[in-house]
Formats: sequence, C-alpha cells, structure tokens
Amino acid sequence: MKESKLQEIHFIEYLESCKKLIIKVSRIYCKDPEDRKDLIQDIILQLWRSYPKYDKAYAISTWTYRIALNVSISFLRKAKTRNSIYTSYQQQAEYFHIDDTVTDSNLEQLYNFIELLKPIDKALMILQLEGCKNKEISSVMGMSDTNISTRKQRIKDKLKLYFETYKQQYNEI
Amino acid sequence: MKFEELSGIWNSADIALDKSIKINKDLVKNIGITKVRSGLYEIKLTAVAGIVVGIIFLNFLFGFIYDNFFEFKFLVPALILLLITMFSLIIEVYKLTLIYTLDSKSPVAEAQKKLIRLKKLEILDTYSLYIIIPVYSAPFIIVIAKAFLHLNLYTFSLNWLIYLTAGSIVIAVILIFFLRKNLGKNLSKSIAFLNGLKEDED
Repeated sequence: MKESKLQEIHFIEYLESCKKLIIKVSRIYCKDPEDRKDLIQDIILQLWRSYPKYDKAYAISTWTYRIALNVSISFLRKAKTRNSIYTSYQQQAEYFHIDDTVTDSNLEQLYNFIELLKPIDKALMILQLEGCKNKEISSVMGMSDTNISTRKQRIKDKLKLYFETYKQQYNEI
Repeated sequence: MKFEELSGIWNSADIALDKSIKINKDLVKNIGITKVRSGLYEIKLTAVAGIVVGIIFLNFLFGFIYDNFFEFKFLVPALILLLITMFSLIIEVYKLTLIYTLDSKSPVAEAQKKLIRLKKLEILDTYSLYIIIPVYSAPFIIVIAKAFLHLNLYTFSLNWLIYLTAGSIVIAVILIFFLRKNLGKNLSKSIAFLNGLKEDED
C-alpha cells in the first residue's frame, strides 16, 4: 500500500480519536454554528498539514491541543476579515456531520461561563476540564507553572462567583 | 458547584458527542489536495511580490545613484527612495520570516505572540503610507523622468512639486481610510490579547 494511502488511514483513525475534542474546542471559541463549521475545517486542515511532521517527543494529546487551540484563537481574531470565496468554499465541504445541540442545562451553564473568559483563559479551562496535569498545560500553553497556577486560581474564583450568582437568580425565580 | 462536578459535566458531553459526530471519510481522503486560502496566504503573496519589486527597484536605484553621484539635485531624491525602499524591504522580509516560522504546533503563547507581531507589522505597514506616499511621490517622479526621459524637472516651475505633494497627501488619506476599516479593531483586540498574556508574567 502506498505510504500516502497509509497515512490517510492513520489520519482518519487519529481524527476519530480526537473528534470530540475538536468539537468541544470549536464550541468554546465559536458560538455561531456556521462559523464553528469553518473553525472545525481549519483545525482539521491544520492537523492534516502537520500530521506528517508529528514530533513523537510530545504526547499526541499535547500536540493536538496546541494545534486546535492555536487555530481557534487565531480564528477568533481573523474571523471578520476572511473573504467570501473562502467562506463559501468552506460551507460546501464538511468533514464532520455534527449534531452538537446542548440539551444538558448544566453543560449549557458551563459553556456560558467559559464564554465570559478571555481567549487564553478559555484554553486553560478546556485543558483543565480535559483533566490535563499542570506540566502538560504549561507545555501546551508555553507558560510557566506559576503563571498557570495563578490563572487557574483566578478562573476558579470567577467560576465560584458565577455559579453562586446563577444559583441565587435561579432561587429567586 | 465544585470543579470536579464541572469536569464530570464536561466529560458527560463526550458520550452524546460520540454518537452525533460522523466523519466524512471521503472528504478527509481528499484533504491533501485541498487548497485553502487563508489570511496568511494573502500576506505571504503580498510580501513576496513586495520583495521582488523592491529588489528590482533597488537595483535600478543603485545604477541611477552611480550615474548621478555628483549631481546633488538627483542624488538626494534617489537616496530618499533608496532609504524608503530598503525600509519596506526589511519589513517585508521580516513578515515573511514570521510567517515561515509560524508553527501551530508550538506552544499557544509563543505562536499567538508571533501572530500579533505580524498583525502589528501589517498595521505599521498601512499607517506608514501616510509618510511614504507624500515623501515618495516627488522624488520618484524626478528620478524616473531623469532616468527614462532624460528630463530635468527642476527646469520647470517648482509649483508642480507642491501640488504633487499636496495631492499625494490626499491620496494617502483616502487610501488609508479604506484600508484601516478592520485595522483599528484588530489592533485593539491584539493588544488586549497580548496584555492578557502578559498580566501574570509581570
């Protein structure tokens, strides 16, 4: 079998293993469903381009997080400038068929909370929710352990305040 | 709500997602031949074109300076053009270097800092037109007229120089008005993002 064919098969298997992560990251960085489709395409394209150069010195998860988060954060800032040809092309081609409607109200609240965070803190929150240890988070983010810990504490404080306010409002109703 | 509970909620979404996502394998197989135009692709193309034109023009300028080295009135405009062209070339080369070293596999903070630097360069590039167009236009016409038509524009009334400079300022203002529509927004977003990155490093 040709090497390129083999690589395609491996990539599809790999994509199968990380598809949930891609969807969740895109959900965090893109509220609009159409923009989200674009973002997913961007992430997959970037993963595919980088796949042959995957450095085994890093865990595959670290590598995937870096690409998905970098593409998402950059996407956020260039979203307004993308041209129409690019957009229409992207809408025609969908690598995933997704139904990611959120039915769980707790999950909805969690997404709403993350929506309030800065792009870099969103990334940190995703990594923490995914269960990454501090070492992996600092490797993905390129930040010191102290920086990560300070940010994590700040996010936890915000989170506490957010859910307390939410609970209060819920009880009033 | 405790963080552990949230982690549970986050992971419970996996089960639902697992069932609702189907990979379009046929499309993924064709991904290798897919060409996607990104914002970076356009910047890269502009930078390469800028470098090629810049080098050709530099070559011409060096020849012109050599031929007119002792004619001060032609040497000065040529030197002005040389300085501006070299400045633009350095910016374009730096932009290309940033694009080629941009790697989405690198740590998030590092990659994003590079992207912001690139964005700032784009903005600097646009706003520098305010200075470059008025300063460039008169020397450019003087040098081109002398080199290709053997015409000494200084023999005419110098009013044309004033009108040309005034006209080029108007052109620069109009041009930047159209170019900067997205720039202001991008710059403030980029700076806010960079400050967000820095806040815990200080």
